[in-house]
Amino acid sequence: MAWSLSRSADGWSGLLVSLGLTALTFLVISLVTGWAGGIGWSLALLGAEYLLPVFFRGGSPDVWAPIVALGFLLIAELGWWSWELRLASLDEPAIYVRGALLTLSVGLVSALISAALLGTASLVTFAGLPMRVIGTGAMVALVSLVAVLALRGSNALATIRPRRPRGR
Amino acid sequence: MPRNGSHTRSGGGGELTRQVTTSPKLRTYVALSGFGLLAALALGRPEPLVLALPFVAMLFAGLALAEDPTLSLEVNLERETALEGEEVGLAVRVSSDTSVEWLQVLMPIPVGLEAAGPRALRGIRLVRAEQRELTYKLMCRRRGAYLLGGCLVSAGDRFGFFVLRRWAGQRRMLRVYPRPESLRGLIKPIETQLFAGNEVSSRKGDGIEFADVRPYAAGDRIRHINWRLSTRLGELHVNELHPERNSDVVIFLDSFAEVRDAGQSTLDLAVRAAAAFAEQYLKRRDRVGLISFGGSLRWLEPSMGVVQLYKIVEALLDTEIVLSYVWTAIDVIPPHTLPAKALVIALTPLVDERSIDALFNLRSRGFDLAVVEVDPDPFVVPLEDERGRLAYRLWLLKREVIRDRFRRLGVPVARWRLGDPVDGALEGVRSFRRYARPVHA
Repeated sequence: MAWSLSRSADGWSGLLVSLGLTALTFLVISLVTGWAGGIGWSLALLGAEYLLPVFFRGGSPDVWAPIVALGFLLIAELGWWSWELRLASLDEPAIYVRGALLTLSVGLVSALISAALLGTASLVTFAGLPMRVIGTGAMVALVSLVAVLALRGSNALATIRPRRPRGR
Repeated sequence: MPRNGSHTRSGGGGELTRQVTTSPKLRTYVALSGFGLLAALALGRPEPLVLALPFVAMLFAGLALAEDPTLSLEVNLERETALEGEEVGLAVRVSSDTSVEWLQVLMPIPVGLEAAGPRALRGIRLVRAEQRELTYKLMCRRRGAYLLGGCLVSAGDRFGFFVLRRWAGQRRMLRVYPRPESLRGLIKPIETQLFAGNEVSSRKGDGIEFADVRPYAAGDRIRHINWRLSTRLGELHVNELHPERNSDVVIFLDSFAEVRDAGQSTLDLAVRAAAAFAEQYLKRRDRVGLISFGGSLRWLEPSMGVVQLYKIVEALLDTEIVLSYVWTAIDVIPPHTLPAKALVIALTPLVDERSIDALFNLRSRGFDLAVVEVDPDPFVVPLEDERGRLAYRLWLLKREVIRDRFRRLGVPVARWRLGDPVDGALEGVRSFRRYARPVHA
C-alpha cells in the first residue's frame, strides 16, 4: 500500500517512499516486539504519505479515498489480530470469523458514508470561517460523544459472580 | 499435623476486584480518529475525514454495542483426592445471560501440578443463556493439598476495546497423596507392647508360636502339656509360647534439609516411604506415630487404626522444608510422642547435623532405632574441576563416617537410592538387626 501511494505523486516519491518504509518498519517492530503503539504510528505515517500529495496537488477530492480508508482499516485490524496472537491465547475459529465479518461490515458501511461525503464535498465548497466553526464544533461534539460512550462502556461492564454449588 | 493446621498451595493470584481495562486498540483508534478530524480541519480537505471515518465508525459501533454480561462460573473437580502421577479432570462451567463475544478463563496451576493434554488457555464465544464447559486435565506431580478453582476470567467486547477481568469461581481442594512404595516386609521391633497384635513377642506367654518347654508347675493349663515329651521323660512338661503383641513405631522424618533436582527430592522419597510404613504397620495393629523434625517441629502421637493412617497421610501432605538456623535438639519433642520401647524408623538424607545429632541422642536414650538413609547421591552433581571432585570425595567420606558411627552403636543404616525399591533397603536393616544388638552410647 505504501508503495502504491508513493507512485501516485511525481516529485514526491523519495519522501513518500521514506514515509512508507518508516511506516512499514514501525509495523514490523510492533508485531515483532509487541509494542502496541507501533500500529498507530504506522497508520499515522501511512496517512501522512497519502495526504501530503493530495494536499499539495489540490483540486477536487480524491475519489479513491474511501478505498484507501478501507485499506487502512484492514491494515489496522489485521495488525491488532497479529498483535493479540502474540499472547498465549487459543481462540475458537468462530471468534475470528465473526470478527472478520464485523470489521468488513463496518468498513463497507463507512466506505459508503465516505463516498456520500465525498460526493457532497464535490458539490459544495467547504471554505470560509463559518464552515471552519461548524467543522470545529462537529469535531468537538464527536470527540465528546466518544468520550461519553467510552466512560459509559467502562462503567457498565460485567459483574461476574460465582454460582453457588447446588445441593449443599 | 494438627499443631500447625494445614498449609495449602494455592494457584490463585489473590482476590482482584472487578477491573475493566481499555485495550491499546481503543486508544489507537481514538488517536487516529482525532488525528484525521484535526487534519481535515487544518488542511480544509475531506480526505483526512474519509480516512478517519472507518475508525470513528468502529468506535461508535464498539461503544454502542458494549453489553453488560452477567456471568456464572462453576468449578468442578473430577475427584478430590489423587495419587502422585495420576491425572485429574477439572471442568469449568460458564454461562451468561447476554452474549459474550470473547471469554477467556485462565486458571493458575499451583507448583506441583501440571496441565496435561492440549493448551488450557482458550478464548471462547458465549451466546445468550448458553452454558459451556471448559475441561482441563491436571497431572499431579507432587504430593500436597492444592486449592484450585480460582479463575481469572477475561471478557471482551465485540471489537476488543474493553476487557473485564476478575477472579471468580469457588475454590476446590485437591489432595494429592504420596505414591505408596511397595513393601513386602517390615522392620521388626526388638520390644513389643502389651496389647495384642501381629508381632511375635520375644517374651513368653499366651500365644501360638512355640518358644520352649519347661517342667510342669502348679497352675499351668492342661492344654499346654507337651504329652510326647512328658511320656518320654516320665515327668510333665509344658510348652511355652510367644504371645502376639503389637508394637509402637515412630516414624522420624528429617525435614531439616533435602537434596533435590528439578523433579524429585529426598524429602519426597522419604514422605512416600513414611506413608508406606505407616500403612503397613497400622495394618498389623501396631501403634504408629510421626515426628517431622525440622525447621518446624510437628508430631503425631502413636495410635492405631484407619483414622491414624488418615492423620499421618494428611500430615505428610504438608511436610515441607522450613529453612531454619536454630539448633533444635531432641528435647523439644514431647515425651509422650516417643513411648518407651518404641521402634524409631528415621528417614533422613543424613545431611543436616541437627537431625544426625538428634538420632544419636535417641539412641543414647535407649530407643530401638533404625535409619533408612534416603541417599542424596543421585541428586548431587559434583563439580568438574579438581577441587570439586575433592570436595565431593570428602563429602562421601564424611557420610561414611556418620554411617559407621551409627553402626558401631548397633543402629542399622540402610541406603535407599532413587529408583530402587525400599524393600531392598529394609532387607539391609533386617539382616543387620539379625546379628547386631544395640549398645548404649
